[in-house]
Amino acid sequence: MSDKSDLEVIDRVLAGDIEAFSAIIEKYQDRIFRYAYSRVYNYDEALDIAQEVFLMAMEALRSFRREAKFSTWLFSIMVNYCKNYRKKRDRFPLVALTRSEGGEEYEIPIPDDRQTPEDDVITGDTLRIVREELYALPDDYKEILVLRDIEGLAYGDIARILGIHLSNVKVRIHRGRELLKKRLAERGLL
Amino acid sequence: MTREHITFGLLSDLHDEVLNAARKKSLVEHLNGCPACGREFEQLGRMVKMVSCLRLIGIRSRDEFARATLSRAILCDRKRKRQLYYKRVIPSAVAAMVIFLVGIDQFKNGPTGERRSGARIAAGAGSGEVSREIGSAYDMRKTMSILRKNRARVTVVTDGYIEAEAPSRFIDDIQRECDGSFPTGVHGFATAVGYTEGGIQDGLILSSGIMNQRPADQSGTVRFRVLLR
Repeated sequence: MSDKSDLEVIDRVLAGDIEAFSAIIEKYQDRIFRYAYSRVYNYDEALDIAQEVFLMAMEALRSFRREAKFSTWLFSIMVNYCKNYRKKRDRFPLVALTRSEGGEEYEIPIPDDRQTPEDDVITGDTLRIVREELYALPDDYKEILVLRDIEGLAYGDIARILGIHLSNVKVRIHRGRELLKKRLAERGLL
Repeated sequence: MTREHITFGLLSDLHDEVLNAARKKSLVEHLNGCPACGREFEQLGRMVKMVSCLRLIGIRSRDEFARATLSRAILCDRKRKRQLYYKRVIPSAVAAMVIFLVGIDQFKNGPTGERRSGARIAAGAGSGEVSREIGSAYDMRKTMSILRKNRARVTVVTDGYIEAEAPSRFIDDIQRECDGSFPTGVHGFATAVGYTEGGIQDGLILSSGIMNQRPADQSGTVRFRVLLR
């Protein structure tokens, strides 16, 4: 869905067609969830956060001034919500990548729907290590690498979302990548 | 080709293609001739590719999540609309109530605040209250002072009379003080005690003597009019 169709959906929602908001949810749910998951490292909490972010966005939809892209505005809400959430809870230590459900624990699976032979070089174990090391980075580096390297956002959008200067975005990306590269090399992946 | 190795920051910028064309060309030339920098750049690219594969992480039951979120969104929207409705309606209702009460008051008292005596006396008679007229030997200021001392609540003041309400046990004192037959500095409970021995007659201009009064009037409030000198 293009950004133009985002605006069309927003117009419909503002006109009273709340059901139309499902298009926004379906489009952005994974991205919101991934960011939340990188912050709290817990599947259920990340789901709750993602849901709250969508509700907040719908409540505040009238304040969206259409100066920036809708995705940028939505990500700003998400980043601020996660910051406040962590302040409020003041916990979220790194825990095992498991959760309990029905009395037994299981690992969160990474869907493996990669098709190209080149991608097949990266195995599930490799991804698990990359994820562990990425999520173990300091928050400043982690959030910016999630936004840049996972979500593929432009530097300018990241600067708007995080409310920092463009040069600061570059510096954080450099340092975050450097640190991550060093740690992955120590784990034998590079 | 530059002789120094390329910094990691520049390699990162080169990977993300945020450099200008001249800078990019210079760095690419260096990479072609420097195996160490070339290896570093290749490792950086591989790492970014691995990290980007983490976008495969997602919500497992996407449809269920979307449905649940939409349901909550609809509930929140209804709640918000309800709150908006009450925010609009409650001030209007309060304003209407105030206007209604002011209207009632205007109807009872007239636009100048002077009570419609006929209507009030009829209401007083209907509710068991006693209406009296007391002649005052003093001017308005003195008479008001007497009324205040005897715990009377003044309701209407005109040039010719004062209307007030007071506990029935003080009426005798007011009557006597207004007549000038009783020292104005003495009032209150002493006369009230004496009052229990007798009573007053309602609906008439009272004399200073002790009169019989019905027991029901002893604890009630008497509304009366003091005619000014």
